[in-house]
Amino acid sequence: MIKLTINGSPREVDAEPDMPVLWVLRDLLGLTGTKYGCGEALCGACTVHLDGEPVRACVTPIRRAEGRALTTIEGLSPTGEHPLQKAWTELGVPQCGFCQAGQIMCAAALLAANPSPSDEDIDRSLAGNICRCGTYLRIRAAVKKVAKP
Amino acid sequence: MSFEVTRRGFLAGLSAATAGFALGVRFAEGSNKGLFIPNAFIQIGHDGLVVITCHRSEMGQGIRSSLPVLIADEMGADPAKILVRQGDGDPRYGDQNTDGSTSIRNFYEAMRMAGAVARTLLITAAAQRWKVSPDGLTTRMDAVHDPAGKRSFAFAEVAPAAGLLPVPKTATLRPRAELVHVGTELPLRDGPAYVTGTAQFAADVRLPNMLVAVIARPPALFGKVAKVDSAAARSV
Repeated sequence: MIKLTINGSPREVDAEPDMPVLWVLRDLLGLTGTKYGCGEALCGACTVHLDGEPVRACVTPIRRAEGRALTTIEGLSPTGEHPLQKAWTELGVPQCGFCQAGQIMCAAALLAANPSPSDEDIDRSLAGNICRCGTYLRIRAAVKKVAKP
Repeated sequence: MSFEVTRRGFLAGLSAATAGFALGVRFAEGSNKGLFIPNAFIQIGHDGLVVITCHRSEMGQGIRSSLPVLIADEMGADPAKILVRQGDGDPRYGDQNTDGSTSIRNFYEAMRMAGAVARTLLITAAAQRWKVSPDGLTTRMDAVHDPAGKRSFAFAEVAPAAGLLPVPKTATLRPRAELVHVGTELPLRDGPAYVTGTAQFAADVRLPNMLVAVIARPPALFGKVAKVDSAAARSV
């Protein structure tokens, strides 16, 4: 049994220590908001927070999360009203929506560390999150909408 | 534009491509337990909730945000209040393959016809209650309105009676100018679900006793299967 905190609640999961966090979330806990994109840390769709830091759940073994706090898109805000989630909806950022949980988790970590990012900061932080629909311009606009001037 | 309604669908005036689909728009047969189900795309429940089926697959093109609005606008339902149900492979929806940027092109008229039949039935039910001609009545914002009598019925009030009416022989599409949502920028219906992780993609579907199969691909181009040893897989 591996003990950790997921979205604010203490959890015990019966998983092999090497099992990637992504599959613990999706297959053992039914938290399917975190997406499987590539499985090789190349696309960012599976981004979650480990003690507030963005990590790729598909290549992070669950043992690394032992005793620590994991946050997924389901737990980013209890009501789904994180400023980024509101901005994303207001600006109609998503198209197919598949990568957007990872985009938001990455952007949330950026803003937590740097509430006033420059355009360059935003582009650099989100460069590893791929969007096949090409919603990059709206993603940047939504981050800027939430960022402090 | 008026069109002929048959029990098998809306056939008059449709192109060959759409007529093939129209055969699938059959009407509910027999008892409907107080629900208003004029065809496979529309249902008004006891609570007045307008449920509209989207029979195309969403993949970022926004079809769940647009196609159901054609029906809602034509029948006079508020698109902000409808519930969009995903078409589930019922043969009445015809071929649900979604590709080629053709959903709106092929179904613009058919969706409006589905909505127009619903509107006709709701207006007929209201006219019977008021004992007036249906000619002067109209629908908007989930209600049938009688401009002469300055009165209205919410859809929920007339839907059960409308559900018992025979299918009209003809129905008429609204003049284009009467459509208030078509042609405007529409909100992304699944936006909130996408940003909270609650939207369900194919890989998120969990069914009881579901088995998961994974395709084993050859390590080389044009590789052929030499032998299969499923012992390890079967022991899982």
